[in-house]
Amino acid sequence: MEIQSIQTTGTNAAAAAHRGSADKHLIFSLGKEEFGIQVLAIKEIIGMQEVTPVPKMPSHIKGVINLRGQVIPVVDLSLKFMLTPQEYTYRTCIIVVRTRGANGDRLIGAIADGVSEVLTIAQGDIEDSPDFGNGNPTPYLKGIAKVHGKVKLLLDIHEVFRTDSVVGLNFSN
Amino acid sequence: MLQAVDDLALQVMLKGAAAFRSKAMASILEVARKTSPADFVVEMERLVKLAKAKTLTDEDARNGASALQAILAPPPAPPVPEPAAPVPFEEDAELLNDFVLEAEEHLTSIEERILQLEKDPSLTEAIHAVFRSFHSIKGLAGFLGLDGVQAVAHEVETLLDHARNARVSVDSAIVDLVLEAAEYLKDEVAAVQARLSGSLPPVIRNNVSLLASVRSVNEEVQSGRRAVATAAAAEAATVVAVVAPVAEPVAPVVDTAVTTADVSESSFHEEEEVVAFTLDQEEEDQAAATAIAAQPAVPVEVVKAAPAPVAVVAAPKAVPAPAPSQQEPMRVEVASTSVRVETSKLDRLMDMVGEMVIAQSILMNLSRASANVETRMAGELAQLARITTEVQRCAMSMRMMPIGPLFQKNAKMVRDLSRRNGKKVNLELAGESTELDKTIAEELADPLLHMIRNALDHGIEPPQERLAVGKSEMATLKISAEHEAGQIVVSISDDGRGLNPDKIRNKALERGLIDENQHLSEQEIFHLIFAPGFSTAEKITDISGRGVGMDVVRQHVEHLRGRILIESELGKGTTFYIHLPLTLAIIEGLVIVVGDHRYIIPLFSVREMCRPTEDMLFTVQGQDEMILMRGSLLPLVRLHRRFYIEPKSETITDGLLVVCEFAGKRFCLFVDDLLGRQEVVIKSLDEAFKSVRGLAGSAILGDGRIGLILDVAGIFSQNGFEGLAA
Repeated sequence: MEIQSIQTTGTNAAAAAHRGSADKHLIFSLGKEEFGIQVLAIKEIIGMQEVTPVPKMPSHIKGVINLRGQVIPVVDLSLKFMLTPQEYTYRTCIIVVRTRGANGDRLIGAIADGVSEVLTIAQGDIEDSPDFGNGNPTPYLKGIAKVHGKVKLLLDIHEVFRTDSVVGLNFSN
Repeated sequence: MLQAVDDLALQVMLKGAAAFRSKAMASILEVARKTSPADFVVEMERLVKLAKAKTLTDEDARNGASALQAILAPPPAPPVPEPAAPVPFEEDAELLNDFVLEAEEHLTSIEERILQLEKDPSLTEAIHAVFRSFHSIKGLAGFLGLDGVQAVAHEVETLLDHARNARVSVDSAIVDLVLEAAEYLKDEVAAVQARLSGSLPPVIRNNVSLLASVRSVNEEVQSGRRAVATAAAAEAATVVAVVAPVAEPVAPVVDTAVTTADVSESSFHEEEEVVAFTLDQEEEDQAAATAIAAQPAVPVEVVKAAPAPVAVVAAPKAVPAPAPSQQEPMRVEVASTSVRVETSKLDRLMDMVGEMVIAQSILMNLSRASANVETRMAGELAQLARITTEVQRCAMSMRMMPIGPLFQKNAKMVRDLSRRNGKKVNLELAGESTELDKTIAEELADPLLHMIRNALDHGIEPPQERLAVGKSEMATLKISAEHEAGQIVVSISDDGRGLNPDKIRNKALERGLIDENQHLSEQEIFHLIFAPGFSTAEKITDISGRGVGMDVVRQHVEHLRGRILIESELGKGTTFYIHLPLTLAIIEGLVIVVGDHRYIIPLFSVREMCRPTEDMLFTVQGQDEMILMRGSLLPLVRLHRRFYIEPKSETITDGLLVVCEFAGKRFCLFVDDLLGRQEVVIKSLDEAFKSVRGLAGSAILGDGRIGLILDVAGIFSQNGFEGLAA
């Protein structure tokens, strides 16, 4: 019995810690819009580097990069969401995220115009993505958070990088 | 229950009080509450509680274990499997996983050893090995509550115990029984594995008849040669008697054991175990006693007598936990010196080593480029280069495994099939220690099986036919493996009928595989047997003749980037040579350029290269292009058109032609230029790219950049004939 109770408290503490980091979001920009991804899903952020193009792929899939011996695909989120394409500058970076694939975890690089900060956004501050009345669901969007009077679009990265998804982020225009 | 307690007692011997903290305790207790006397449960609970609180000394634990054994002592004949501990699967997934792995290893070794035994029944070491394997499986299964496994393993173990003590000789009937039991255990293990992975477990056949037949053999042995058995018991008693006067405190226990041995009718083996245990304990007391008493004559004899049974019986039991070796001298021999590592970890290691090699070569180039590098620096860099090469070689070799086990799997099949077909076959294996990549070994299993079946069914004649043509009745099937020029060559050779080129040619004509005036070399004719649906067999047997097998062989070997050569002489026999790459992880490739893009063409699919001249190019109906090269017309494929990329030039004379081959087809690939030839580590591409035809993977080139590896077949058949066929 004793052991069990200790284990329970242990789990609670872990869950609390988990919840804490689950609330943390990395904020990055694509053009004028600001987006957020859960920090838990991010492996690392690297500077822009040479991308090897892969033939016959849609334009938003830029190609593959060598991440210390691993070959991972790189996606330009601006193109994927059909926003105005951005020039790559010194601020441009690749956010390497860990997502679910058909054969276990896979790593994908997402090109962003720049990362700004890590924000703790409590579940209560997240609103459902609004209905724009055009009948299209917004599957990539987990919700919208308002921080200091600005709107951050929180992405569900597993949806964004689902191999079979071809839908655009339809509310962008 | 007794079994579990015996196991527990052994664990206590080896690990001390810690044994009572193991996970299995809960399940033992649970069963004990239902089936065992109350005092047993009380004692057990006390010990577990103490152990959990870590206040239990090793000494107490040992005494406790003996007490537990004593409570259950007069053993109810155990062959009836008790309602074993129902271990919930989800909780003990790890334990079960270990069980599956370990059992598989044991089963492989059982098959191997038992077949050795059949050839040479005097190999006592092989009997011991098989016995140990069954015993380990039984012990593990007992812990995990796998009744069926335990019951079968137990019976076979009893049988082997008779064999081991020369009460019965290992004839083919016994070999059959043991193999059948191993087969059954294999099914059980597969079922456990299926349940673990969440898939539907296969139906397991009933073990009742198997159990009954093993049991009946056991009873025959026991009743038929009772005298021998009692003699052995008496011998055991003598040993004990010698000990008794010296180590008095233990004597009562010994007495019980001996009485049990005399009284009990059923399983001789179990008693011996009890004796062995007590002996082991005595041995310790004995050692203490000797130190003081200094009576050399008696102890020496005891020490000589005692270790043997203890070692043999105790060793397999110790498998669940790594044991201190001085207690069991035999254990050292059994223990394998390998470590199981996940393949993903190895792959990761390979990745990092690859990166290290690249970093090192960049460093090397830098130092060469700059003018004022100290000599010392250059020396150290050279040293680093040597080390990296060695590390890379080591990392590669970790994926390698000997081909032996693969051959062994087939040895059993050869035996079964030849017997069923009434053919006499002597199987010779060679080069079993040849190492090859694990993935290749796994993929090779199927083709090897089909080729052996084929040899047995079609190649080797029945004994009468062999005698009629003046061959010896006993046919020889030889399977060997060797390294040859950076490749593995596996050959399957029989001294049977041999291939008849005329017959194959006629059959191929009949099936429309070739046409009348096609001129074919002998090798090409032989290769017709790999065509799907091709079979020269007049009748279809349950083994082969449907023309599927050889097609499977071809597909697998091609998939492994290997090739097959056939040598055959009519009436003398056939030899198949399967040439395979050493590893799938590395290929040699040509690095080529088209526009800004670099690609790698695997060297095994490249036949030749040339700079074309204007007059080599012909167009067909204004769109398809052909190249006339030394009299043969080859279709031309421009890589940039297939991949929709910008080339440096469209003019044929500005570029380069690479003649590629796949599945016997040749075509020319037009590229801008050739950069060089390089060995590259293959890395699979992300699932996002699985829709792209013509890419086989990617690789990191010497400068750290990525090159995409081309799949020649995919490039050729894009929007080509494959599209029409589908």
